[in-house]
Amino acid sequence: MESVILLFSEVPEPGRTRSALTYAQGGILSDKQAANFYRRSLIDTLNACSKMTPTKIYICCNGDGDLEKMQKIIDATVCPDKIEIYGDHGGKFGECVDECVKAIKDKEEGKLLVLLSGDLPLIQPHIVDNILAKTSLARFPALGVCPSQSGATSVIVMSPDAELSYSDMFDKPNHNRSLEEFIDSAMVKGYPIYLGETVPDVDNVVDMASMISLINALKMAAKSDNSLVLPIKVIEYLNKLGLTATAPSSKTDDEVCADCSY
Amino acid sequence: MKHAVVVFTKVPKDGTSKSRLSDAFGGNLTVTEAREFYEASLLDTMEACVESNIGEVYLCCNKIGDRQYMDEFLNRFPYRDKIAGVFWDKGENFDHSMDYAAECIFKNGNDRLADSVIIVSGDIPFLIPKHLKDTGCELERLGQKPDGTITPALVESPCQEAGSNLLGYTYNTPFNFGGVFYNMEFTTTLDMLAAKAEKENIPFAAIDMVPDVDLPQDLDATIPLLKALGYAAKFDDEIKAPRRTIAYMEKLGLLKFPCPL
Repeated sequence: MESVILLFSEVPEPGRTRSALTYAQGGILSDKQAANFYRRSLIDTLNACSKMTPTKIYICCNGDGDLEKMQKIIDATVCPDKIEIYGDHGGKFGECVDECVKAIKDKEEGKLLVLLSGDLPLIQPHIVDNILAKTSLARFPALGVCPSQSGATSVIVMSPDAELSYSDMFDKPNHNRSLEEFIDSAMVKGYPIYLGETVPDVDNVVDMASMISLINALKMAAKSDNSLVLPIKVIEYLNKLGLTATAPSSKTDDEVCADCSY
Repeated sequence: MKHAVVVFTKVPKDGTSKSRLSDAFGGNLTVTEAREFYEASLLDTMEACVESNIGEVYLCCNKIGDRQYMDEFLNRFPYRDKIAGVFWDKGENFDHSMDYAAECIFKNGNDRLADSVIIVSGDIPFLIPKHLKDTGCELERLGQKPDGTITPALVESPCQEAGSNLLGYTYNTPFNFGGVFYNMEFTTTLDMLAAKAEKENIPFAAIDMVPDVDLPQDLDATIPLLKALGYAAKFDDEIKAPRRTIAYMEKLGLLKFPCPL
């Protein structure tokens, strides 16, 4: 069964992008570095997407953003011909997702949709292909999901006839973590859900530190498995910044933090 | 390749089991609730290990733990007869105790109980049999020649914060836990594992991330994951719901399903 990817991303802008990583919010990067990090993460995510089963990738971004800048990012990937920009009309996050899902559903009738974000530099093609395959074999309507490391959703798969309101899930005040809202919505509708592997995202400094160690493990694993995709652009940038992860020995010794040594 | 699984755990006790989840350390649970939560997750972890059927399952417990309590606790485990043995560590630090657990299986290579050991911690209710099967497959891919000869191999599952809750390796892998969990350089566990593998040129693989539950924010993140496992298990034989942990979180009022499972 055919499928397409919807990658949700703002056009990277210093001061707006990955602000939780910035000095202003107690992080370890300047505004420009945080935006650069995200831009590279987006390219790596897109490059991994190019090796997945879906043949087309839509970047769903803020329509009032600098779309020429987004096109330059696309041109820096290994698959610019597979990627098309969809600029949304704005609103709350859930409303934007609903708008994009409806528009792409209309355009790509009968196809499975894979929804993900641009901050997944560790994503591997086999993880998405596996959850896509399971969902496509299910009784429809059906859903698939790969959680993030912190109880959010990193990847969502929707059968063509699945109807979800992301604004109902994500835009209401005091909503729960996105994975919980997603599962609750599926249960209420009676949709089967298939659960895939965890795909870590990078929202804050702890995520970033963890990502650094995960990349080191991935580099070692890739020596024995050529199907693994390394986030080359992010690795280059981490090397440039000289970032490493540390595990402080204290009563919070299960937390890691990033250590700048540049 | 013959695998053995060792579940690494302290004997559950108020004040020492998951103490960082308790009000004494700024968490939301009492020390008894923290211990009961840990007991539920330990039983679910043990059950996933047994149901994986990849090898005999052992426990490695802390030397100073209450052995009578552990015996009573194990009576609550429906697969008690599938626990092949309980080792009691020597009361050293975590790194040494892990090495001791592996030594109990490998016995310095002589009359070893298995060709590989897979050590898991007891606080991972999200562990499903598939994780252990995947670990076994990776150990066989990397650490077994077509003629059956066992060679070095190291397989890990990362946790959510650069640690690891599952580690498997073959008996002739030049690996020990020295510095993995405790080191003066503050190197993360994952970095240390990757560095050891690189230094000794050990074939290395990582399986799916299996989060643990150490801190209040981990407990918070547990809720959606438990919900996802509980519901997804209805549709996929590979997914196993950690039923005891789910039931305990429901009892605490921290987990509510919108409709009956």
